[in-house]
Amino acid sequence: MIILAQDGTAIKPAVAKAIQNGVPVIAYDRLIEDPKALYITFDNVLVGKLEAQAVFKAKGTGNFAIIKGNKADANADFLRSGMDQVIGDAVKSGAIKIVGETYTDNWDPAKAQTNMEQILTANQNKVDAVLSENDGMAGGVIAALTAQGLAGKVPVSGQDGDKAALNRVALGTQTVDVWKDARLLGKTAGEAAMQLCNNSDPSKVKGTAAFKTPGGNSLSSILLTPNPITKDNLKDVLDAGWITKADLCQGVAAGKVSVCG
Amino acid sequence: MGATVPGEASAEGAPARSFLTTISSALAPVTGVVRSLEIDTRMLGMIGALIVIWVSFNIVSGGTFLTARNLWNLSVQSASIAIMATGMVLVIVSRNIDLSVGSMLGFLGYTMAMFQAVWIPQSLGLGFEQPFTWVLTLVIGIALGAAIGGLQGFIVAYGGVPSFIVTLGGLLVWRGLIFRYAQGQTIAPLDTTFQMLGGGTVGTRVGALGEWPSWTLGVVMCVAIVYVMISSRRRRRRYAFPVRAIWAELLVGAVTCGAVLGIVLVANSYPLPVNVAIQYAEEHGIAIPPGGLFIPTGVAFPVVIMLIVTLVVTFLATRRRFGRYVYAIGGNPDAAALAGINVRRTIMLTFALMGSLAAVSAAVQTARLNAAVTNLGVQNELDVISAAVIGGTSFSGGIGTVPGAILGAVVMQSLRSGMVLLLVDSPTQDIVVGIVLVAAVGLDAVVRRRVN
Repeated sequence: MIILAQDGTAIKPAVAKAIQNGVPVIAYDRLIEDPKALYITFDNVLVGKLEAQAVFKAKGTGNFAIIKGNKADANADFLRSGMDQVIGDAVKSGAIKIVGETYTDNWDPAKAQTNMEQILTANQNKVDAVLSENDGMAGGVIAALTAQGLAGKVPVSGQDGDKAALNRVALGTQTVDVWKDARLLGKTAGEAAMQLCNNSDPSKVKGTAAFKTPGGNSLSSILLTPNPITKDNLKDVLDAGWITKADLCQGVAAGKVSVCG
Repeated sequence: MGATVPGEASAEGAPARSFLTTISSALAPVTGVVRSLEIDTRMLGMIGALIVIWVSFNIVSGGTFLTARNLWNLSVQSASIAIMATGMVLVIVSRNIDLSVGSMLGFLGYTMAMFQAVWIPQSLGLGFEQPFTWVLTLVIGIALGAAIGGLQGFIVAYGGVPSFIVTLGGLLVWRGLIFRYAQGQTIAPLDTTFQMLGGGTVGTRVGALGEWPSWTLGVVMCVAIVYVMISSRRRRRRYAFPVRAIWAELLVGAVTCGAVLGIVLVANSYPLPVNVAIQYAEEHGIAIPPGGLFIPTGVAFPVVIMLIVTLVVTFLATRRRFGRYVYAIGGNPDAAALAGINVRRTIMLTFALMGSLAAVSAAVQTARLNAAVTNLGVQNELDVISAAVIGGTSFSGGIGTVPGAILGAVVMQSLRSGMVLLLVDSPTQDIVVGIVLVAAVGLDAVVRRRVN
């Protein structure tokens, strides 16, 4: 069974039953807290790190806002811990001040927009960079920044390779979109599933490593490497056939971005 | 209790009773005033609660909450829920419920986004940014909303399936259909004129009325309110119904007008953000004076839409036969049917109205976000129902007002926005809003029982 769990803890009893009945389970992109499941995902801690790196490169000091995803989703905290690897020292030294940090119910972009508006209001617009954990919420953040005339001036991160977000990277309103090619994830999961059919021990699947979960379990996992897309490597998503040039370059002024001409 | 006469206290149970009598006799002049004003006590309670919430947040946030900017944001953030709450009042008053509004909003918003960002420009090859795009999108969205709302209403009214079940089904169906469009991809960017409906900013175009049009709107609405009050007074005279005292009429008129003009004043006190103002000045060749440029933003379009919807739905509810029927059905469905009211048709129409209002809110939300996403409107049904209920709509039917629901929406959004301002995390926000919802209805029930 390949399962994409909305809530990695709530699904445990169902997964345990499947495994007891000899059905191997693959936790697809979202963690399931069962030691016998095989966890296949892009390395989410790394995604968070890549998001923060790109923003940190653009803006190394000042007031940061952090827009996190759903509290019940382990990814929200993995991403946050990856971000901390990059900005943690600067936060400790006081070079970076976190002026707003919120979880967002259901990763809802509209809620992220409202939260961002309130953070901007509370700080009289003195926000220098925004670490948004995904593209949808980055869209909400950028809508809030646009209303204050700040879009493009404040670096914003995201992930997923959403077409709208890649367009924003080309337009310059979003700094980075960490792209996790879903096709690679699907292919890996499919191959792993075929191997599990022959041998149900997940640790015997090719390319696995042990993974310590926040719940204290150790399970086998395959962590794929994501690709941070910035203005400089937009070519990658075009070459991969992930997005058409028309979608990527909609509204981009001529001569601004090399791939858009 | 110090004032109780000793002799009274000797009788068993007397202290409690005398306490109540003391309260009600102390409140007698107040109740008298409220009676002659003909205002729902719950409405007054809610205005009081709103003032308490605003002042407390303002103190705790160090004066940020009651700034023009925060109130402007609050008005825009409340608008989309408030718009749908007006329709939900009529649905609940007629003893039904609509659980599908969040999903309908998502489906309609997604459809409208597809229409303007994919179908018109790409499938029909007409290109982006056509001048007619926004109107056409809006009209088609509202028509589709009325159609799918009406379909649900038809099944409820003519099929005899409980509205809870029909709209629970709708909640699943409309959300599921979104994924049929573009495998759940975000649809963006949207038409720039359409974006204005959300109160957002594109370059130097801002989705708000600006200074003088805002004042004009305020004055026009005031005139409309006064006209409605006068005509209703005349009508009551004609049928020899009791009318309010003149002072009461004047007070209600002045307060209502004052509230509308107050909204305009606040909106005009919120200047365009510095960066937008600078760009605006450059484009229009205006020299920037020392101390910065102050360009009033004015009432945001979502709020204008909300005000218009409030007027229209209030008019439908209180001045048209349709509205009378809705309240009659809610009061006593059997009596309404025996009186010759077409109950089925009326109920179907309330759902159709709800659907079209979901489309209006969908336009506001997608325009504001400048994108349609798959979880657009998730859980909005809960916010909309809460707003209606906090605003005094009763689940037993027959009771509820449109302005009450608007206030309910503002109360809820005030709590949420205020808590974000204070960096309270979302689970705690949910706890607070949940407690307020139950407390508001519980307190009201207690007060009503005491008064009766």
